Amino acid sequence: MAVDFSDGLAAVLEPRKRAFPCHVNRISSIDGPCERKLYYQRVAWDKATPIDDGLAGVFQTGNVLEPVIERIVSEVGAASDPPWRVVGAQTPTNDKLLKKYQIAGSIDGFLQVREEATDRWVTAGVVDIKTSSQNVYPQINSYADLGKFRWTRGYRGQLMLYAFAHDLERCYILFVNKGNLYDLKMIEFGVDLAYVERLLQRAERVNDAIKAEDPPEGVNDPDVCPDCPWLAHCAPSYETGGNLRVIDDVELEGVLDGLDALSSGMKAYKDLEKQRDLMLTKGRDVAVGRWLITWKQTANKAWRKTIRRVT
Amino acid sequence: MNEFDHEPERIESEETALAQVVASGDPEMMLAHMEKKAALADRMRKATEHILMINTYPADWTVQGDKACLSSAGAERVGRQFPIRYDDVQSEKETFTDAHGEGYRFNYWGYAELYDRRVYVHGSYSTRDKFLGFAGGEWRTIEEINEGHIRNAAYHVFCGNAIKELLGLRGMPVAEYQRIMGATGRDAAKSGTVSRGSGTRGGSSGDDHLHQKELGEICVEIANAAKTVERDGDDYTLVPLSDADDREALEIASSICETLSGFDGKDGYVKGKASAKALKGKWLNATLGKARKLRDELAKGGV
Repeated sequence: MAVDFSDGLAAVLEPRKRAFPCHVNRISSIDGPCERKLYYQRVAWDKATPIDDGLAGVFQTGNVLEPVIERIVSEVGAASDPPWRVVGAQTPTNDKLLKKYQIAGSIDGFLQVREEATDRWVTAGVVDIKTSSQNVYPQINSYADLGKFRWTRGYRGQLMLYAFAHDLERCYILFVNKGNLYDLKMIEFGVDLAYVERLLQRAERVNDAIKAEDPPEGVNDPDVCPDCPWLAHCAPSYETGGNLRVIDDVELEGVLDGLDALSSGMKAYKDLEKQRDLMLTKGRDVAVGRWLITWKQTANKAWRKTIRRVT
Repeated sequence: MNEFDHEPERIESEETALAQVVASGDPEMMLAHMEKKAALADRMRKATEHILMINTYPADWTVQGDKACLSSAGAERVGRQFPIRYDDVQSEKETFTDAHGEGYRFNYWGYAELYDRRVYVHGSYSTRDKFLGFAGGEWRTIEEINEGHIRNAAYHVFCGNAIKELLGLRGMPVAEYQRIMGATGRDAAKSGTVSRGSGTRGGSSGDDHLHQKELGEICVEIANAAKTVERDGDDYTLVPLSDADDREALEIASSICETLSGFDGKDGYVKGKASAKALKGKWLNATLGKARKLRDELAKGGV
């Protein structure tokens, strides 16, 4: 007997999609790509497109895993030398300066390390526990790597503001591989005050915009806007980002046809490949004759082309 | 490499160009120019077909009568390959009450641009659209529907309409669709099928809304093709816009709607309505019938 659980799944996830009013600049969002989104998070929190079941499931997985990860982290910390621990989970920020900028959030905790000489717990900095997929996890190994993914970029400002709010100088992100919860790594970095200053100025601009009831300029970016929950409400003026051109280039067409006719092991094939690559521009999609060449940029910023014969 | 997609003149306004040849300039040069464009337009069409093949699936298409219609999701997938610019997009929420109770729709309108072609686009979605508004054999109440989903659907209908308009993907003849999909080895028979007017929703007001929407879209389609409509007795014909006509597409679409909905009543001529929304019931259906004929004529390249 076939069991259909799609309706049941949707019903379980539905309450997790509920939106709540937001009256502050949330630390977890402030380093995001779009200032206008920060504005909408506060003034149009109820006009966001609800997240779909897929994303709701990902978020809910994180919630379900949190206590399990905390237990693992606690065991691993106690068994380490020197021992370390995470304390003060979900401590809200209570900093006068941040309050002035209407910035608030709550941290996952403080990282404390046992100091052998004094036998006391010493606070090393703020810590946030982040889970990531098995594909992303191996790609993040340093502060610079946080810039690789759209959603990891914001972690930098988030942690720095937490540290700033608690007068601490170091930030720690404890990354957990979702495919293996015993696969952990720590990314450590210091507070960059110039970076923090930029975030405070950003918060001030959002506050001013709310006062003036005038949304700040958005990013209008095809890599960012389509995933924004306020896309429909914002209806930005932007370009879809594709750059496909239909070109009339007999020479390139001939090279591609030639490659199609030859076997890849032949020397002539390699020569034609070189010729073809010289005729293409990285990142520029083209349709030529019966060929369509499209480019994609990988997380490492390398360009990968796909060539398809379309007739 | 000769890139032809930055040609400064619009391919779809050959009649206008012909008028210019006669009125001014060097006719031979103009003719050569137009011939080149005609050849390039064919290649552009082929390239668009290729991209359609790669980016859409039979399930993205719905066959309605003799036309194959691409879903907004499919259109957006195709559109991502092109530098399509959305501009000056505005929206409104419109509430209504019909036989099933209270409802609302989100309307989006604005401009979309590809290379040198700019079109006016409209898109809407309401709580009486079946996918989100109907469940368990009945229409859902507005409390049961998340407004964000309706708003989002309307915006994506707008984007889909823009892409379809700019790439000429509206109302593709079924035979043409089957030829394109058949080239991929995929089964075009897996597309959805919709019988027009089969009453997917109850109540005449629901039908009216669908018909108003279709009429509005046809008027805009005609205007975007640089044409307007002229009435001669009971005949309605497509005519090219004159060079001097500098009205916005929306304004032209309104006048097309007004022309099509005008008729000779028993007490003389009854002036038509400039907005499809102002038409209802038989008047709306009669106007839509005329509009559909013109749309078919437009698709065949008439006038």
